[in-house]
Amino acid sequence: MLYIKNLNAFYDDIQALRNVSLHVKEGEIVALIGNNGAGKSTILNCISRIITSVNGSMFFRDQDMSDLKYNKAVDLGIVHVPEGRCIFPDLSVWDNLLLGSYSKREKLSTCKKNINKIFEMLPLLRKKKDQAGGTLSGGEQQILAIGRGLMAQPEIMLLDEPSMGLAPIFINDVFGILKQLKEQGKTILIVEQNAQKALEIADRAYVIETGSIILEGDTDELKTNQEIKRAYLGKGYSEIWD
Amino acid sequence: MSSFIQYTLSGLVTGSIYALIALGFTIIYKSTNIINFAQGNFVVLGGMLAIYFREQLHFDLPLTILLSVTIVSLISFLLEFIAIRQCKKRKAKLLTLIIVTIGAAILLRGLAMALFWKDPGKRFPAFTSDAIITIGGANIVTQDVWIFVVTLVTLFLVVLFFEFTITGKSMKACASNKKAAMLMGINVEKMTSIAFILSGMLGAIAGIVITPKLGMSYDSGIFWGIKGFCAAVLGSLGNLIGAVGCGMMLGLMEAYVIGYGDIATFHLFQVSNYKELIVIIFMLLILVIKPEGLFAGKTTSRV
Ligand SMILES: Nc1ncnc2c1ncn2[C@@H]1O[C@H](COP(=O)(O)OP(=O)(O)OP(=O)(O)O)[C@@H](O)[C@H]1O
Ligand SMILES: [Mg+2]
Repeated sequence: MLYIKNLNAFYDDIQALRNVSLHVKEGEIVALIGNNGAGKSTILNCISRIITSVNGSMFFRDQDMSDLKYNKAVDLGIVHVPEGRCIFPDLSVWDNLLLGSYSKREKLSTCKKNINKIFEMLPLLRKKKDQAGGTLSGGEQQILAIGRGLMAQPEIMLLDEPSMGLAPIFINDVFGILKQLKEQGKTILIVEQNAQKALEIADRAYVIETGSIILEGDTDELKTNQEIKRAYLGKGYSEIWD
Repeated sequence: MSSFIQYTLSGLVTGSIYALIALGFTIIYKSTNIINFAQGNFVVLGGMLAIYFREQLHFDLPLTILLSVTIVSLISFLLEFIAIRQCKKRKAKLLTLIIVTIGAAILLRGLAMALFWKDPGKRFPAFTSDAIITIGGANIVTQDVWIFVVTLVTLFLVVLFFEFTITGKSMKACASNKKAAMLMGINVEKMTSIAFILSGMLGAIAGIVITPKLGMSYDSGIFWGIKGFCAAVLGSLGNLIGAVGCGMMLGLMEAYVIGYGDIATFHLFQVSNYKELIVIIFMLLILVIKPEGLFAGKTTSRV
């Protein structure tokens, strides 16, 4: 569904990505893991065409993405739920969701129906629907951001650190939602620092370090990889130091 | 009592004009963070074009209004599309962009003088009649009623646009979080264009309704611009209701200074001659006490 080959990305003179190649197949959940500053968000920003100073080839289905404008990417169904949630703080929860479906250009009555579907899946949002987005807690904002992304009826969803800064209970909520999406057969590319959680839910994963992919494979394989255990799965695996 | 009503009414009429201009500043500021110092020149152009169409080409009033508003909106659109957008592409700083608008203001002032005339007293007749209406002992002309009604209807439509249309909401979204707006598939550049067109329209409307009363001179752009800018800042820059409220307040303050200033100071100073100065000092005082403006606090954050 999404094919990226030899992608290089630049911030002014700094090269943030080097020869990144990855792909995501229809119905797959793919995780992208790596440390701070590795370039994970940069990859997602390239795919959603927020960053355009790139070279290399990117294809979505059969469409060449190299001259695609960001709003056209959303029209194609590439929906990016950004790092730090980026909800609209001074708009209501309802309006946040409504704008999520902007790319669909649907009638208001259809939008209302879809918002109600989101409310069924994420009941917490129904209670807060008239509240300004900025007054929600961090975890609630994350759920709103996911709901808003779903309003665009994504073909592929790009999720950037949905568990960042959340209390464990909210992390479970968020991953519960992701599990539901997986069961519905949604295609997702997820960036996570919480590698353990990400590997649990994903089918395949890529490991990125300072702008390059250093490892890729099925999650079952990666979970047993010594290097991954040491670098990304953290203290629960301290025994392998011994 | 009747003199109080008189001052209040005339304050509300001038305040209406300030409110329209302030709204123009606010809409552009909200969607781009730019202070558009050419806003006052939109007022001048609106007024001068209306005089030209009405007096020299003898068009009827609706056509005059339509043409003037369209031309000014187009100029505003082009200002953004040609100058500001190109500077942004070259990664110009915000300050540079604001200076570009000052340049545009000077250019438009020159153009107005070169293409039209220098005579400051020109005007065109009132929309309907010159009849005087008496309300509670106070006298106003029918054009005052027009100014007030046109302003209220315009303000109402602008609020409806931002609160209830998807385009209005997406413009608010662009102001609220640009990156997120882009990720929703909202064409941010298009929304910026709409903001400039809308501000051009508001400026032109203000110019057209006030010209039969005060006339319009090529060089009064600064005057109108400063009044509108003050109202927008006082109304917590970026707040639509604040801009309108403070525009009205500014108009009322001026009217009361003219009306009561001399009496209040026992005719020792000719206060009414310095109404501009007094109002500005008063405004600065408010800003010293409450730097965020009078309408801050309702919105949570500005990204
Ligand atoms: N707007 C920017 N301008 C300049 N450099 C940037 C910019 N955004 C990111 N970078 C740099 O690009 C590199 C990759 O950043 P990126 O945000 O993609 O990392 P990340 O893997 O998402 O990290 P994190 O886990 O902290 O979110 C970093 O070295 C960062 O400093
Ligand atoms: Mg990141």
